[in-house]
Amino acid sequence: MFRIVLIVLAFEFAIGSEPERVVSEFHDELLSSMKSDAAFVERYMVLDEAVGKAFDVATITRISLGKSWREQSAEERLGFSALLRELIVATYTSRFSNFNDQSFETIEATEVRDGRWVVKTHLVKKDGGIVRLDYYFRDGLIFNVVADGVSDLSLRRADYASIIGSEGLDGLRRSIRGSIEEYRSSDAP
Amino acid sequence: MRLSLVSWAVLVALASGCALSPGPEYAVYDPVESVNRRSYEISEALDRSVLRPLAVGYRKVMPTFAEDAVENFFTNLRSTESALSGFLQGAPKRGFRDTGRLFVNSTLGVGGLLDVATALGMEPQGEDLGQVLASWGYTRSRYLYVPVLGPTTVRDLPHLIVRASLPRLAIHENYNGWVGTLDLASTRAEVLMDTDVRDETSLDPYTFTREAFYQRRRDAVFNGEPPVEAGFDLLLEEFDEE
Repeated sequence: MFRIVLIVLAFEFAIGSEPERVVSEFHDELLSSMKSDAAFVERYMVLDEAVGKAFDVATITRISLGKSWREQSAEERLGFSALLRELIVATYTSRFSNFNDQSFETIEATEVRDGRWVVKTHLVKKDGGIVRLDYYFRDGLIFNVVADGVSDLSLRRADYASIIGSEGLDGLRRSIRGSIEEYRSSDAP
Repeated sequence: MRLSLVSWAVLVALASGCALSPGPEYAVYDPVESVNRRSYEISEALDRSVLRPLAVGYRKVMPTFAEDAVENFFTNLRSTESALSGFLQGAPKRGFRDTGRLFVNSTLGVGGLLDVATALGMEPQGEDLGQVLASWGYTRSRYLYVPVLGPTTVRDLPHLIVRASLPRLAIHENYNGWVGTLDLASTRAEVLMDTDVRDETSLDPYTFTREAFYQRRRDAVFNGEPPVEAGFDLLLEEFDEE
């Protein structure tokens, strides 16, 4: 019995928590993308799968749209989710395109309460500079990334609220599509 | 002179703080948004035509070691504010660490050109007068976009003024237009990547800048360790209500 407990504990320490594993795998995919010479579209496909596994895009969509989310039909919500996923993947594909001896380090993973976790990591640059990346989890998936204290989701929510206020949801859709196109074209040969 | 400037700036912020209405701590508070937006537009136009090209050119012509030396030099001059702010927050360890950095970099670091202190394990503490006021309870403050100087709040205005004035105060008659331009180019170059990311990512750059500013300040007040639970609660409040 004691031996089984030891084996289980050793296994736990070896792989860390589930959120840690999710982040670690996602980081591996980002590093692969950075090291790859493949075209945007190919790297996009790989990262699309990685984002699908690691991120809770439905929750991200809901929080990003704020009050407007409630006014959407189920079909419209799915449409927005798909659009946001495209934007998230295009952003990662564009940003993580050059490898310059960067690496990722997991600092700690903490369960805040009831399946809500924070995994704190560092992106270590070639010159030793650090970018703090904290991944917020809900029900096993990432819904927020905080870089050096700035929450990606809060920024998105504020940014979208402003566009929805001035141009409506159609305007927001147009702007997001525009951003995706810019990412795609910026990587074109 | 230096002390009087700091005192004046702190007094302005405290006086304005007295008129604050209650509200959530560290949250965005922008009652004069139309004025701020106008100021932002003017600053952006100036930035696009003068400051950004200056910073890009500066980065292109300066060898990395020279760029680092310039950045170190001005950072060292400004670390006096960080040291003072550590003590004012009742965090003498942080104050002494920055005082030590100032001493080491000003002497062994050839007047601040080299950051010897970091190499010796004395990390910069990054304190400022805005954080001092926040630690004294001034946690909600009006947003201001100051032309050319950028985003701030009434609470952080003393920091902005002191930050901009310290090189002139520290090197007195040796401060001239060239030194000022070098400082400006170096300061703008430091945030080139941030503003490029903002321009690439944001749909409404004004809102994006404001939101990012408030979050960065909150993070700075908590020395990079803001309460995690609050982050969850703020974003997931709708889910919790269900």
